[in-house]
Amino acid sequence: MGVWARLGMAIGTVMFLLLQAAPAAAELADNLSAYTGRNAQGYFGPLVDAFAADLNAGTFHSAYIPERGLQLSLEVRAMSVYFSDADRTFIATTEGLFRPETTVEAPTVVGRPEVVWVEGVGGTAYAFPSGFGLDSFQFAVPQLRLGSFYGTEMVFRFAFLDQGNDLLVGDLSLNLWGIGLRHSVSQYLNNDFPVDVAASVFWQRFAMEEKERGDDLVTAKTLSIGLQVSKRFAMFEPYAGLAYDRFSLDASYEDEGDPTDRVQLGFDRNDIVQLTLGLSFDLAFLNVHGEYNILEDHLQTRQDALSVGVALQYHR
Amino acid sequence: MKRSLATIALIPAFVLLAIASGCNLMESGPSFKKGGNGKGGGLVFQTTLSVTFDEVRTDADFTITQVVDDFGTQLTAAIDAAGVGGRIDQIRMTGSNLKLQGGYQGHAWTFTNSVAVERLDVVDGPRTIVNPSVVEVPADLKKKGYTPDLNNTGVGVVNRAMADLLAGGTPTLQVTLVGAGVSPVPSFADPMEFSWKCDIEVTATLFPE
Repeated sequence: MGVWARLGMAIGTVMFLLLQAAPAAAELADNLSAYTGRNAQGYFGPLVDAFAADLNAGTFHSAYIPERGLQLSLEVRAMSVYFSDADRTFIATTEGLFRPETTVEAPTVVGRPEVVWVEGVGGTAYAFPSGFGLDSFQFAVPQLRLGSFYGTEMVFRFAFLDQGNDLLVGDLSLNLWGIGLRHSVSQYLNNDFPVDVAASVFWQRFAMEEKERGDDLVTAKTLSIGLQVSKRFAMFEPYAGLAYDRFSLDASYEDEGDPTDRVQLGFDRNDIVQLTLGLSFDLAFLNVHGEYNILEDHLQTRQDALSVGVALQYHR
Repeated sequence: MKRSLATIALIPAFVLLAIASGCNLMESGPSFKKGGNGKGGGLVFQTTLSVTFDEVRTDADFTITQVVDDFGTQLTAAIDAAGVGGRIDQIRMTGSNLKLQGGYQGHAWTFTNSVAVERLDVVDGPRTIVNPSVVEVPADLKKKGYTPDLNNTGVGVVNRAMADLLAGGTPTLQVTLVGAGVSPVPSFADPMEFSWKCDIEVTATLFPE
């Protein structure tokens, strides 16, 4: 069986397993039209943070990069963020025609599945949507690692879906891809330097596009600049990394009432500091690895992401 | 409504990412059915139901009635248009907005306005839903919106109608607009012309099916 066939089987297995969660996803797709603007920021915030953390996890599993030679690694990385209690509520403010304006603690999208009602003037009432009681946000993505040229390797990450029916909001296509460059710092250090050292830059873009008009409905971008170290002990290789990340997600949609107007909703996460601690296990052509990531952004929002991966690798 | 569409667009993004790359949104237990606090379901949907009066007044005091029997149709159409699926659990009135619209009339008008509501299918009301307040109709009206002072007796009539709607009934509401003391006093030669739209915002909670 060829390498591509094995990779295809691996991806297929992952998708089969994870698609069993489709009912939960479909429930999420049932619209929550009650939230706009600032409440949307708080409501979706934990999911956006989790997405950012997952995207920036699992980009490496060793700091060792040979100076020359063909290095090929086909990988599947699965990332998971577990939500904390702090992720489950946010300070929400009533919107629309409700009076008086009232601020309460309401569930986020990952929070408790309970609607919160607030009583207003004249017997009116305002409802804050429930959460979905989510424990974690996970996804898997294939990636390809190719090197090495003067101690430099490239990393590609990709996922694509062409959604050809009106399951959600029409004919949509979705793609996630990333490209990264890693460079060996060790080659400039003394041979007796105790650990391997590498520097990296990794850029990813996720887009959901409306096929008919070619408009991007949702676009997310992330950039990570990092420094990694690792030390090989026979088959085991502990590794660590420190990175500076930036993440933005923008939703843009045509206003049904005014087709010339586009609605914008943006989430920015700046100055994210990411610490990675992991362990890699090498068995000739096969490598398995797992890591723990701690990310904290400029809002002091912390996300912990767990990542595991399998790599089919070839060195010459 | 505008931004809510962007919000809506965001959710499928995560869902599609799930399908494309094998994402899993792990739930801590049964999703919606374990939720709720006895007062509502999981999803919240807001929409606006409207009643419009076209005014050509030639007297200082007037009363106009409008029968509304399509609240259920309006609500169902709004929910269908938004693509929200599920069984409606509860509907409550959230707020109201009054809008005046019209063209240039040569001079401004003022009058005292109030609104009452009653059920025609059962005995309930009439009750005041908008407390009396002075309304100014500018000479060049174009469009003017204002938030009325709501009265809980009238809001109660609407909420009970919504509850009956959920129970399978077809409530019929009669909305009565009372105008008093129009100044300057209009006449056939100088009528007060405008359209008057009453928006009633309601919130529905839904259990996905």
